[in-house]
Amino acid sequence: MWPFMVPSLAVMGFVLLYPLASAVWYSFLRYYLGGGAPVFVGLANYLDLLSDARFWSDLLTTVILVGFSVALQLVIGLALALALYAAARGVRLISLLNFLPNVVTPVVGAIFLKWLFIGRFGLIDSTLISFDIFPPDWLGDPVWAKVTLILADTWKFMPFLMLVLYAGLQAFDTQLLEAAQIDGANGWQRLRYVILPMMKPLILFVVAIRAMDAFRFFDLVYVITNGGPGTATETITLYTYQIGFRMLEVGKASALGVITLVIVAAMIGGLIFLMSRRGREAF
Amino acid sequence: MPRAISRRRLLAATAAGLAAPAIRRAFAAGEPVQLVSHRYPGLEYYADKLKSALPNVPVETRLMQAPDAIQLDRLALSSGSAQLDILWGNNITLVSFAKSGWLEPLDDLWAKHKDEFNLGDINEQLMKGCTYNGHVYGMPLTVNTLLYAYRGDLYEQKGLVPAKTWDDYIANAKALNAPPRRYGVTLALKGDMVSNEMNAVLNTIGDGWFDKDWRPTFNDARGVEAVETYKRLAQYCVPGYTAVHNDEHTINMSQDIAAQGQQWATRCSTMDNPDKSHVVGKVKWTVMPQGGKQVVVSDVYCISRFSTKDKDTTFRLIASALREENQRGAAALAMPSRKAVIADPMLAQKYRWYPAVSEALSVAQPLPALPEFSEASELVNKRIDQAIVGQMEVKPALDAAATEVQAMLSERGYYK
Repeated sequence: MWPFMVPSLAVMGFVLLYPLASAVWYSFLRYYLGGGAPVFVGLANYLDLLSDARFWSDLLTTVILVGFSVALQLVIGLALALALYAAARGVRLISLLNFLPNVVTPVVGAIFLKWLFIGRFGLIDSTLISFDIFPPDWLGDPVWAKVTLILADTWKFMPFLMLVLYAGLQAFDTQLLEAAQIDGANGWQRLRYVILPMMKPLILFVVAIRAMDAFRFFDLVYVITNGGPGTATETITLYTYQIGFRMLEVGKASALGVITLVIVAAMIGGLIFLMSRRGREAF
Repeated sequence: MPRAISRRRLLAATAAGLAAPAIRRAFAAGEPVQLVSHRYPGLEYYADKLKSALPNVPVETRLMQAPDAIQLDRLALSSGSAQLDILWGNNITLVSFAKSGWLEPLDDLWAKHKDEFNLGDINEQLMKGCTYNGHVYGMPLTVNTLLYAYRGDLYEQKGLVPAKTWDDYIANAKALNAPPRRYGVTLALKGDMVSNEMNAVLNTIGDGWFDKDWRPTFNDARGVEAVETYKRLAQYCVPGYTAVHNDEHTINMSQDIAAQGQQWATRCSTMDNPDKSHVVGKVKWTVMPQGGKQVVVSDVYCISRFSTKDKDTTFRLIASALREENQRGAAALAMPSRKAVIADPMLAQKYRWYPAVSEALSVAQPLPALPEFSEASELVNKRIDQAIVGQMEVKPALDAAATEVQAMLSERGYYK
């Protein structure tokens, strides 16, 4: 059997392992793209980053954005999935319409969202002002800018959660719900004590996938706020981009990439551990 | 029925694959010259002119936003790629790329073709920005500077006059501030626009960016005062200014959302375009307060050192696109680099912002000619944004920027 795996292993090695190994190697170099030959500096890039206040602030910002946006997406996605599950008609049309934001190219979606939220002539501000409501500074206030990005990410990616959870509900054993109903459980009790426990592995699975994806929060932030105001919405990936492509410090950017990989791997490892403890059927 | 792959076929395919680069080189003469450029109407015009500049020399153009073009150039040039032949740059990228050895020196070609293309007519001040270590590396297409744009009608209604000092400028913004209907000023403090906007205030209230040894001066007492001034001004600004770049800034002025602001000369024509503007004929322009010293930039075409195309032909291509008649054709879209066109009184009459541009050019001050300015400004701009939005106090923010810039420059061989 092994010879049959050679082509796929070769492709994997070329597109996955080779770039990863290169990034790890570059992370040990002082490598300025506009200058001379790279110099081996050992762990200096890692030490620089770990003692950099901006790195820790960006990590906190990333955690806040990921935490709130994934939580919001889960709540709305689950609510819509349940509504679709209960709906008698129009399910296909509604799920198709809901899924549209997820199909739009991220940068195009981000530009569209920016023109919604931009100060004063954006669609939201213009509408609010026409009702004599003084709008907040969506992109210029540190707190509102975070809220805007959370809403933007939710608009873009909530449909993914909704669809996966709806698919999970389709496979649900309705006899359990009927039994609960006969026992006198109301709607909330059926959700709390029957549906959610049964869906827990699936919920953990989609949360893990989304969290992993959201941790690489880049295109929306880059287009909508560019990390601003100041560094209020600067994420780890945006900082990596700035070090790599603006400051041209390839070695340091690679080190930050490796650190991000380790953080995401640890986060996902924790979630997998949680899932395998609670319900092995998730993987 | 599918045909089996025989050993002979495999060998033939391998040989063809190995021979491909040689075959490609043999046909390289017919391959189009590749241009990567920033895009705005003026540069789109010149890219078009480049395509028809010389018969039998095809040109392919890829136009994009400036940061993307610069990033693409850096990635291609740092790997020695021959995929780019002509690249757009500005004074900052030109110095940076020339220092890295990525650009073709043009001195010999310039001398050879000077008379044929009347290159002596190009503004000498602009040529300084195309020179690094005594060698010419680019040909300037345009000149662009920031003007003090203001709503003449609103100023008149309120009895205001164009500000001579920054305090007056803030006072005018305050007097015209009526949110959410209209704001006193529009600022563009996203990305690289921070250094462009701040240049005037740092050069007039402050002591500029660096001293002669490239040590930061933007964080001295006068630099702090300069940023404090902008922070006071920002109170009367259209919201979201840290996410605003040139396009949004232009919309703020043309859609009657802001009463004044620093505006690129290349954006002035939009104000008088009835398809795009609600304020046709109402915007006026003058020089920034306290003597200007605002930013001036030039769009430049350079030739990649790694280009495999004939350099003489590529140079003639650019020089042809820069002919006087072409510059006259672009006069509404961008300020020309030829003295004969800039000084043409007919054009000054036709484009009412030309006199203000001419006046502004005489007092303009380019961004520092530090090859690493683009990287340094990344560090400083973030801190200035933090200071203006109140994420940090001004002095600590500027001190932090100065420390970061010094560390970066020191790592790159300065201060020895």
